[in-house]
Amino acid sequence: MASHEGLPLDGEPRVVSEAPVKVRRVPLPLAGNARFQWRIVTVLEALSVCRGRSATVEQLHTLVWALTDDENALVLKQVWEDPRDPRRPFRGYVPRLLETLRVAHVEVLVEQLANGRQRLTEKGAALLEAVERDGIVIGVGERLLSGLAPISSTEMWRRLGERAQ
Amino acid sequence: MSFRFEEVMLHVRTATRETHYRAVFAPGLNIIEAPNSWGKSTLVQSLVYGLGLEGAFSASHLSPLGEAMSSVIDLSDQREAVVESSVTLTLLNDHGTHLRSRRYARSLAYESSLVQTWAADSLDALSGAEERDFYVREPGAASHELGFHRLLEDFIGLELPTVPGFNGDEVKLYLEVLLPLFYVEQKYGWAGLAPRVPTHYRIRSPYRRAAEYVLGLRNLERLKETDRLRAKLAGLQEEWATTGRDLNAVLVRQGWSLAHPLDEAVASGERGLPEIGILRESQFIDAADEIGRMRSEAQAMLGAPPPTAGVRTAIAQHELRETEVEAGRLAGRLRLHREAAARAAADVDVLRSRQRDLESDRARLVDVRKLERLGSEIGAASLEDAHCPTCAQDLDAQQVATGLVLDVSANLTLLAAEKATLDRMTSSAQRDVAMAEGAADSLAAQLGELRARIRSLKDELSGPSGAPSVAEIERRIVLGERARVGEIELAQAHEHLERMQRAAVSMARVRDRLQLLRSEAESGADAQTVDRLRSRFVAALRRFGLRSLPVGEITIGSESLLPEHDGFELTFDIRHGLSASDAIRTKWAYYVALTRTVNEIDGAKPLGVLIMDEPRQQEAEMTSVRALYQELAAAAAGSQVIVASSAPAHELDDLLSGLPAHRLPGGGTHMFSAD
Repeated sequence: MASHEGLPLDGEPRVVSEAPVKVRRVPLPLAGNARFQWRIVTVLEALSVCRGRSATVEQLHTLVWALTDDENALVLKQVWEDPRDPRRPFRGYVPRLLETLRVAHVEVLVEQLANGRQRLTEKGAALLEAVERDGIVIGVGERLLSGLAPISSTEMWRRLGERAQ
Repeated sequence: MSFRFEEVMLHVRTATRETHYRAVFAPGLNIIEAPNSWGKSTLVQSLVYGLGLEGAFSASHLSPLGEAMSSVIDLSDQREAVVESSVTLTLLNDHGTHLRSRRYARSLAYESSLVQTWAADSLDALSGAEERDFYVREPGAASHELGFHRLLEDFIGLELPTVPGFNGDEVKLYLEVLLPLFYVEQKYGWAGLAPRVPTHYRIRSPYRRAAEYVLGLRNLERLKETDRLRAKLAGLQEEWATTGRDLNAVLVRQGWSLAHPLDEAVASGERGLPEIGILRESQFIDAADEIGRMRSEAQAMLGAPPPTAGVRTAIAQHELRETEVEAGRLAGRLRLHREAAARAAADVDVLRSRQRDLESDRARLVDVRKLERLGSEIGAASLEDAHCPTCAQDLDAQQVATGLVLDVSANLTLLAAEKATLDRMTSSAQRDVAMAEGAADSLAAQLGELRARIRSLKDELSGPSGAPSVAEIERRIVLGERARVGEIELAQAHEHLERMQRAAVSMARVRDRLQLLRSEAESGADAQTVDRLRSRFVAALRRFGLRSLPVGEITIGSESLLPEHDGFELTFDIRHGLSASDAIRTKWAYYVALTRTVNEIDGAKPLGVLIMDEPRQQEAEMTSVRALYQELAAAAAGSQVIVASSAPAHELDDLLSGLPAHRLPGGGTHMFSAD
């Protein structure tokens, strides 16, 4: 590499290194909660704690949101224990839930009922059991939801605030 | 509630002579039998023309009658120009009243819009009856006293309703819209499967409205009631929004807020209306209490002269420091509320953007479903070949081990659930925006007062010490004025709230009523009537020998009231695999079934006639045509049936064997040639 002097901005000539510059790609690990497999497992976890292993999409958004991050789980816990003003409902939203559900449907881990509710299948339950057996995903959210099971729609919205229809 | 034709007379005058043709109809089945070009269609069209109903087939005001009635006529020895022509009908209604009407097709003296009429209790008395003139094919013909269709409506005993039109208005269900359900003309009438109802009367879904009316379905009343309620709901929503804006303006002016957010559910619920007050130090202070406090304080001040600035120096300095601290604190809180409002508004934007994405996804899926209904197999074929329809790559069998994917309908259900979630979240975020902005506005008003107070205190501290305290005088004036205006505005705010409450209660009632109407639509006598129509239709199809599709696959749709195959309406240009002859059989079956059903059902409104011009189309087999005449004879038990046929007499002898039919054989080569 040819050496040269930088512009004397402050009266002193700038020293420029002659060392060659190398650029290379350094792969960064994808965060666990951004991985598809993990997202699917959170959906299965959420469904497994619901009454009848089924939930509405709206319920799933909030439950999966709580599983996405420990802080989210703590917020949900706080709201759950201190029921909301029904006019100011609390909701979580997971932007990629729909996509996750579609893949879960294809793999028959989750099925959609005629009324639009989502239900855990036997295959989904077996997969979840295997995951839990290996102790792969145990966090604040999982422990919180396990403690709330079985969660019914009525109870959930009573605590999180249901907007009058 | 029906009528029948007793007689028709066509009259033509040329420069040299007059000629006419007269046909007398009987109750029941009537067969006009004559060879091609004899004028059967002109005769049948003259029935429609005499009633002034040719608007059922065209918006044109030109005469629909053949040239023999409108321009030139071939008489036995020569062709002559028509100078005058007219159609004279004699009708009979259920009450035994005879009505004779004459309408000119060509005349130097009379416009074709004029209809001369005579009414009497017997045929013989008609000749001595008083003439009354009416108009037709002009605005008001169906509603004004001198409109012929109003007379005809009364004569038949119909009470034609108004139905929803385009642009949300109400339009009368004209007789012209009903006629195509009981009349099949030769030229275009057999071309499609569904009746060709006119669309130029600005009626929304004219076929369905006409069919509902003649079948006596309650749906028509429900529809009108639904439209009325929706209009009322829109008015109430507008009132709610306008009053809400007025209320908000008062709250902002006074720096007040509501104790809890107000929405329709809250306003119409048991919790009642929110209190109006001031948010201070996270404490909610009732506005009335605050006004009372200001008034008492102002009155107490009035009792004593204002102190001089010098006396108040220490107090004013202390007050200035306190006020500046308080103003700084309020400004901080105001910023937090503004930030909260901005965050909630950003949430609303994001949620709306997501809703738009969902909506466009949904629209695409609906289009895909439409393509599937039209028979497209692109998607299915791709999936069968383990080929991704989105990325156009081969699917890895391991990734789609089951081969199952969400079908379009399931996907739409999933999107609907997602949309419901987003709707709720958006609504919640909007309320958060409103609350944060309300609180911020209230704080801003308080901050404005504190800043004015700071200015007064600074003026006082920098002024002469012997002068009256400016801050104190201003405080007295401001307090008194604020109490006075506050009382007026508080009364106004309560009025707005009460008005909003009344609107909310009314909206809740209207919504309940709409819900009830929706649930009523799915039950009751309407379903039985449609079942009757459906069973008559299917039985007729079976008798007519439908072949190209299994009879069980064709039905009458509950919503469309039209023949359907595989959930698809068989309309004018869609035959869905039916052969041409089976399309004719389907059409026969539809007309026969409709006429028989309206004859049989209580509450139905039959016109009383069924007219078919040359029903044997597409060289239909004799066994089918025989079955048709048998069905027509059955329909003729409750309605007058008029059929024009060019079949030879011996063929008609065979077809009508054993059936009670009144035959009107046409002599000569043309209806006017024998005269």
